[in-house]
Amino acid sequence: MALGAAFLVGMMVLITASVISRRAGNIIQGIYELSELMIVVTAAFALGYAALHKRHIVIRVVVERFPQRVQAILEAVMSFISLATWAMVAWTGFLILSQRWLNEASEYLSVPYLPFRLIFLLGLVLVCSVYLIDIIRALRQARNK
Amino acid sequence: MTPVVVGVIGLVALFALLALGLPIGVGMALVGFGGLWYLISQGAAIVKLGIIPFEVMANWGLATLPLFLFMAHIVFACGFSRDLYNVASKWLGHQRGGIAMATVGGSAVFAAISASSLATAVTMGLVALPEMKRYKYDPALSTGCIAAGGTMGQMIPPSAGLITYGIITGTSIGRLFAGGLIPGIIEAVFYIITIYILCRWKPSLGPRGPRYSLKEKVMSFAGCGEIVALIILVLGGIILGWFSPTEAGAIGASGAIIFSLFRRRLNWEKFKHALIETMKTTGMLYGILIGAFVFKYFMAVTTIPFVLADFVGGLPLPPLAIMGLIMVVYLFLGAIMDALAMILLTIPIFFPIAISLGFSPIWFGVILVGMTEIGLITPPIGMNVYAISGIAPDVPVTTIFKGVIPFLIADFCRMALYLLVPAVVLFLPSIMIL
Repeated sequence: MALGAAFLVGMMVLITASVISRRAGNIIQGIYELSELMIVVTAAFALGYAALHKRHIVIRVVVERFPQRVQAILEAVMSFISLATWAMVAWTGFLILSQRWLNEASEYLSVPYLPFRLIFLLGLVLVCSVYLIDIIRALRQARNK
Repeated sequence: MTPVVVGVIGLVALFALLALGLPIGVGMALVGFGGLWYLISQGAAIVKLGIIPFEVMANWGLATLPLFLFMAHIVFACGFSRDLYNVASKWLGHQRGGIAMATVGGSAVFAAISASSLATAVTMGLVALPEMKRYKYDPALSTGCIAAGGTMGQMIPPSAGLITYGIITGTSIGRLFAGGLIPGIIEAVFYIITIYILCRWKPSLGPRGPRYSLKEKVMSFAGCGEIVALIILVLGGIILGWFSPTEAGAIGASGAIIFSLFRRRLNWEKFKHALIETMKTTGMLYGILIGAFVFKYFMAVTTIPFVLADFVGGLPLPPLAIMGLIMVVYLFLGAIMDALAMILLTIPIFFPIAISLGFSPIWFGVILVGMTEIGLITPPIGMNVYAISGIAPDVPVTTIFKGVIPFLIADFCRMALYLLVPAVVLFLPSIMIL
């Protein structure tokens, strides 16, 4: 998470500096593509962090009417589906990375994409880990109720 | 099965999964992936799911969101929201209902920092509720004006709703921001007029607050003048074409940090807290956006939007009447759905219809966001109302919903104005330099 936050602050400083510099007449090249890569680090870690703090939007109005045991079982099932979906995103991302994008680099600065694509995959693995913990916790709750 | 039937099954499955508690982003990604697999091929679905999430993350336009969120969290953590409220309170508080009017004014200014309605409502609620309680304001009016005033966070730029709409539809975020500004100001004016009428009708609803001298009023800017200047710089810079919305977000966040440090209000703990909150909300937004993009491709392949657009275009009704019907649909959807989810789920269907009817994408974006604002305060799922209920536990939720009713009437009036006089929305975008 700290790395993602650090990249956000870094991006903020970089963009601000580029705007000030541009207004002063000196255009810094490559900020656009650098920022696009930096935000990947922020978003990848933010995804897992939001899952950890249960910030992903869920509609609860129907589920809240069920008995608590059913709610816990449903949560386990929905966490499993979430885990499977994010795992699929990671798997398809890895598949395409290994087939197409190993030597990809940004246009102007030639920054290699590979480290950022790997961080993106790491972020997805973290999301999956959070949902795995959620499944275990929800199943325990269902058993105890 | 025809693509349209597959699309309808997909939509039903999606709503069922969401009702059972699946996160919205996950639901859209899963149904979108399954639908693409069935309608095109396994290979195409894998390629889309493999490419889209990274592309969504590595998107310059979307970087606007975390940067503006960071700006708002810094301003909030450093307590500038109280100063903004104090300015409005000193200028308006002596009127009948003046403290409620000040709350709306403060909310409008805070909305120009915050991208979220909920954050605007809660932030202003924490500051303004104790004040209105102190001056014996009617609980329905005080909580109602905060819940309704908070919705301006969605309309007045920077707005998460307008940014996501812009990204999904490929509409200029800068022009959307410009389009939301005048409607946002009109909203604040309509709410203030509503309070004025209510308190003329029944003065006990909002007693007068203390009167301040002109010097005290002017001095009230001393606490937050630079933040007001920052807002003007950020929004003005976008409209004048000095910088893009993403750059404006970076300048806003940097400026907020510099001013807070200058005022000695920012310490490491507050900085860390603002970053943590930004990361949480950023993760939530990217989660839902990744799903929305996959789902958008699926919807396009089902041809549902085009079939619907053709059908609606063939109806013997004028475009304005059709738009009115779309707004009614949004009114019902808003009552049961989260604002962002509503925008992302319906854009693939309603956006092509609006465009085929000849409406401007900027105008439709503002109308759509306006309807989500109404959804935030209509029962049963008026998120802002529940948020205010969380910080005013002594006021029953039904009282807050009752307090919101006059503001809902004001909302219907202003939506009718945007509908009948599109220039209200389109004037600023039309004079933009970029």
